[in-house]
Amino acid sequence: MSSSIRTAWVAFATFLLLLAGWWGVAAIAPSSYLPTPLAIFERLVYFVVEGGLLDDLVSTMINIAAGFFIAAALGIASGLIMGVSRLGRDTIGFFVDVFQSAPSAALVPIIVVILGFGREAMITIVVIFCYFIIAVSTAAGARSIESGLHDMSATFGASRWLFFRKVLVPGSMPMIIVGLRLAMARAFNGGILAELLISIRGFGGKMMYFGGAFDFASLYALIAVALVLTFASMAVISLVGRQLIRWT
Amino acid sequence: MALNQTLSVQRLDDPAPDSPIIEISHLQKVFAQRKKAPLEAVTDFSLDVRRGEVLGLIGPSGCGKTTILRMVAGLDSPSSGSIVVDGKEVTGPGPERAMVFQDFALLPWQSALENVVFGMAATKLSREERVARARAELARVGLSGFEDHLPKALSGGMKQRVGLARALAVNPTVLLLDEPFGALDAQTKTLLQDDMSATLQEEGCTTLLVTHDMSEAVYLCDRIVVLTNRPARISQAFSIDIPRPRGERFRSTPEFTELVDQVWQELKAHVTLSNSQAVVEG
Repeated sequence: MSSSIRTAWVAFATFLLLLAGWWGVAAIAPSSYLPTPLAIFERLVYFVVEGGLLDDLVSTMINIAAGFFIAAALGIASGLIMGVSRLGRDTIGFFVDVFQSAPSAALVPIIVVILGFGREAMITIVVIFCYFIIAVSTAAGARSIESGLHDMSATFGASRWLFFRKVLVPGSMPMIIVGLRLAMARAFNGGILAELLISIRGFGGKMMYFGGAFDFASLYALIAVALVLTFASMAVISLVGRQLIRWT
Repeated sequence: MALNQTLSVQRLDDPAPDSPIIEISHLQKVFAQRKKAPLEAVTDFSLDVRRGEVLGLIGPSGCGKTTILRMVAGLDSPSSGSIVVDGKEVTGPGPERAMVFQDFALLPWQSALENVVFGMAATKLSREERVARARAELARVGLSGFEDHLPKALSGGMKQRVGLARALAVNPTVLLLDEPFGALDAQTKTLLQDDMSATLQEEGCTTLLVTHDMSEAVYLCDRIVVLTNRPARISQAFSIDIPRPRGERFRSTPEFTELVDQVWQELKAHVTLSNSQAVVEG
């Protein structure tokens, strides 16, 4: 049995155990904030059959995807610059270090003033949530390229463009993928949080609605959907990433 | 005694008989160090290398021999003094000099073939010509059939053969070998030295070999320059007037053993000094 399959089984068994524990507690001491897994599952089935969730989900996913790709482009580009250029590190790197710890949610009012309550604002929030981790890991990846490969490229007269394509980008790729994977989780966080904070709509809006109505079974069902989608998106990045770095 | 004819100690100011292809004069390299006194790695180092000559630089580890090679390659610039290769002063890397690295320096994400093709970046060849030449060079170092293998699928010896093919593919005037067999096991090393000996003979390119292996130097080189402990200066130069390639049997001759011993006797004092220094510094 390969180790990744073993990991999957152990994780699944742990999940079942937690689920059983939850179910036991919910059955012994029923309360509104701890519905049984069955109740949550029934809500989930209802949402799927009814289809009322789909529009909101698609709308939110568009924000998440758009924000993620913009952040990926910006993060990889600036990360590579920080990785190879002293000037890049001293200029961009400094601000990335400072702002990555800034409370992103606190920026929401400013973004709303500038961009309004529409999609642009929500996408911007997703970008802010994702950008830093991508930039920082890309820079770390670029810096991890052995000095021997720099020397080799120099002695054989590789142009800057060739170095970029054949050395810098592939050499940074393992860390770029790590960054994108972590950023994907943050993109879902940012996308849903944006809807909670800016305007009650989309998937986050639905969460806000059920939470306000104390319909916790529905809320948990939505959270479960978000978790599954996040996990699936991260898995896609891992799978695609593994194809890109088969040389490791 | 025959030995005195084969091993002659040169006077250091002896001008090289043929026109030198590498002229190093009064080379000095000082590295600035943060919060420490500057480190002088090489001092007043002058050396001429003849066309077609295989010259070994041997010295205690950390003595600055790799620094000299890096300056000839154009990867480091001298603090003072000059290096002239084929009539041109070295100011940076150039296509007439190709280097083989101790740690192979292969791109792990590229096949053996593509690694050799990458080495031809500065040439004017078309893509097809590069690929054809890379195939030919890989075949010559015995790697036919391994063109599409990634470095991780190759043994250490095979990786260094790719490194050698990459260097030879650019038809360099000067081949710079930086401890090319340093990362290999003894058996692989012996095999590769035999192949290298034959290849150097075929190519006839001027070669600068940095090594700390005395028998390797005696086996491959026309001339061996023993360096002092840091900062590197020339301690002694030995000419080995035995025609190359010397053949693997050469290693088991008394002559060989005697030559290695001669080099070791010269080197020993510096190595001992370097070790005691390391203890004091460490």
